[in-house]
Amino acid sequence: MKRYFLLLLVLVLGFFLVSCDGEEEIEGNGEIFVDKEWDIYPTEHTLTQPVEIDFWSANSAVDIHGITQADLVERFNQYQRETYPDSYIKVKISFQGGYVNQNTKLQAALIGKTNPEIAMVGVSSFSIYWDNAIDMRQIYTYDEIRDIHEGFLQFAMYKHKFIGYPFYAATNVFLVNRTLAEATGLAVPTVAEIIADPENSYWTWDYMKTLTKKISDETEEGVYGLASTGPALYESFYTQGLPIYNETATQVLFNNEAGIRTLTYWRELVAEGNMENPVLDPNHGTKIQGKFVEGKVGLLWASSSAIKSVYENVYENRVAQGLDPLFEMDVLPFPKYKNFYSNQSGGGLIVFNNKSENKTKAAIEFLRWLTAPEQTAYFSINTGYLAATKSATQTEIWQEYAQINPLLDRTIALMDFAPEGDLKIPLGRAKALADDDFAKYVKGIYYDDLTRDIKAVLKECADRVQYILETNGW
Amino acid sequence: MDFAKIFDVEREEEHSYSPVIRELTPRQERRLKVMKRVKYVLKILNYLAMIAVGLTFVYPFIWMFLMSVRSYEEAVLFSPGLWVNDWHWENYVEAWNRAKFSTYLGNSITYAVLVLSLQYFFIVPAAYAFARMEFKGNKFLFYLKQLGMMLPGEATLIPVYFFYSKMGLVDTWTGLILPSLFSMFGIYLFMNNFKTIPQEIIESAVLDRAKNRTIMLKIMVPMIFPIFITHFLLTFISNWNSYYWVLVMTNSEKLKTLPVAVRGLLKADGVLPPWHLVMAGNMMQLAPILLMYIFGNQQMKRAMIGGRKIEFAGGKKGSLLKRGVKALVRKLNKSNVDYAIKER
Repeated sequence: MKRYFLLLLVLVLGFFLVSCDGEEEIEGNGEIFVDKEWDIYPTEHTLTQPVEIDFWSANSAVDIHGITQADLVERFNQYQRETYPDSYIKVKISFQGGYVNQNTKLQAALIGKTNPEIAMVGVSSFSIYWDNAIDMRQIYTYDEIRDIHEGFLQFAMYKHKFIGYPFYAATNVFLVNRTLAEATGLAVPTVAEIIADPENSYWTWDYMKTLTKKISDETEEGVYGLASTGPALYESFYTQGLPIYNETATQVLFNNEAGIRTLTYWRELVAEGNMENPVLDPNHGTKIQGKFVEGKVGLLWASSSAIKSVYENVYENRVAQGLDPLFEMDVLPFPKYKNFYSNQSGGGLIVFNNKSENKTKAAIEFLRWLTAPEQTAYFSINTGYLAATKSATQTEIWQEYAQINPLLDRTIALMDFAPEGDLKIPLGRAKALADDDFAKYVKGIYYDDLTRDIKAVLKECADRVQYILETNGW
Repeated sequence: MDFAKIFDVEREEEHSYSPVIRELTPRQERRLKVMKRVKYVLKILNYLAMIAVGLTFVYPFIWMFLMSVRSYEEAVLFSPGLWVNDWHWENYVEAWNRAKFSTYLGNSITYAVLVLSLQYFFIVPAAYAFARMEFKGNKFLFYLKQLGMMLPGEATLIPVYFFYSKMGLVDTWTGLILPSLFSMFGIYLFMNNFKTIPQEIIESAVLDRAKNRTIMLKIMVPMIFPIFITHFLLTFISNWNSYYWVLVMTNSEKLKTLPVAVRGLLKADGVLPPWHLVMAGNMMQLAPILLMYIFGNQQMKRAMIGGRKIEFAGGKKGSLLKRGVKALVRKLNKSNVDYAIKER
């Protein structure tokens, strides 16, 4: 008995000592553009023998994103074999089928040092790899970083480290059926107008409500002005100029008058007939995409990565077949209350710091090639991800594509509406869980025939998110 | 009123079985008729309820099939209806090509064949040992194995992947099939069935100097053979549909199986899923399981209840068609007998 007790004591003590690992206290995320001489990895090919590296993509081998990536990797490999026959780089791409699986595998692989040299990671998971990633400022020059649209760098910095390059860039927008919206007789702004003078833009939440109400009222039954799966948390608050979390992202700040105002607004949209109640049909999120393509929705809240496939079905494919487009399609930002705001979603690329010098150099050379303007434009055109750099949108192939589909260009232009300073949001797992739970619980405003107490729903949301922050903090 | 006579057994004495013939009163007769009608109506209601329940199970399959032959424009509306305007059988060809079915189908078959052909070499001896052999650490090993069954797969995925990657088992057939070879479910199933075999049989074999291997292979395995079919079917379904394990433990496409490829179809064109192709892919992936069910549904049902024979309350029942034919033959025979009686 005594022996067992002693063993247990040693075990507990071991755990205690492990948990006492002192964590470095680093405040804030820091500025990306620090005025400092960075020790940059060589920009030319310096390898003297062939090197093989692994690249993990979170996509699937049979989807359009995966197919395009595989194609780019093949091009790179071919270019290397032809240019450096004695010291070529060979990239081996593996498809992991999703961010969740990718993160799980990466975390296990990092412990065993069997991780790839380079990997695709979701933007809100960048922080998880803070310890394992090479600072992008050691790979890209100041000018190259300045070439990236500011809005795509919202998640780049964590604890003074530029962790991930936003190659798989996306944001949220309103897809607009301009034909339907303009038929109301009300003015519908364009992205160019909004960007030219955001201060005086009439594209406000109130105006959007009026417009979508008019679309619903003045069209046949079953056509709605707006379609959404529920209230948009980040956009609703940031456009009011209000934070959702405190400085350290450990406390929720939306359980207040602004929160009540926001949820009341979103409930009124359903109560007044601007949009369908999203909780009445479990497939609502899927169906509204189809309804938009069918022309039965005025404005659809969607990820920018949907623009390409929706536009192909509404315009490109039909024109190619000699048919008329279904309607005129456009994009608009989330309306402003005090200011406009474009969020960042999608993923980026991370180069790991636990590999041999040659492999690291090879991974960096591949990353540089992949994020060059031509390749960035090619990837964006084929997948619908947004080209993150200004130079990519200046390339010939992009300019040609923009003649056919100008919507990606307009969406990228909206990325100037980035929040000032650091994003005060939880990162990694905490953000994913907090977003999921907020989206789930906030739908309470639509239950029981829109009769639930908004304050109670808001409190429930805040309590859930707060619990997640407390149990998943870093 | 001769026909109204029925046989009734009144147990006057403990050993008396002679039937007493009793004539029914008109009231009893009417009551009997009403009861018969009520029973008939209840039977119809019962059938209707069963059909309704059956439809709720069948509806998703029918809907999935109909989605798979819809045009893109129709499918994207995600209508719950069962009407198809234009039938697009070419969706199957497109899904086949886009999901590279020929590659992944081969992988799925290899995976299933490897598991199914190799697992019995490990599961059966282990089950036999746990069921019939006394050795040191028997219980400890069993509980240890059982503990693995208690923990959800997701909880152990990171350590398992870590261990696998260090051993160089990731992205290999060996790594992929390894856990299935020692499946606790299989060990449990065989162990419990080995335990049902009377001890006397084993003892008599021991008296004949039979070794453990002989007892296991020549006596016990043939006695529980139906369990093999049960286990074979369940393992096949489980491996055929295996998604997350394959996704985690493989990197290259040369090992990935059909469920991984079919899921990829969701983003085949970008964010807006081409539902018609996704459903066509699902139908093709499900086809072997559906065929197995159609041709071996009796065995499948037995598999689900642990290998026992299904005996309905009314005794053995054949298919509805068989029963219908039998009823018709009976009726014809009866009318012939009636006709013969009348003739006499």
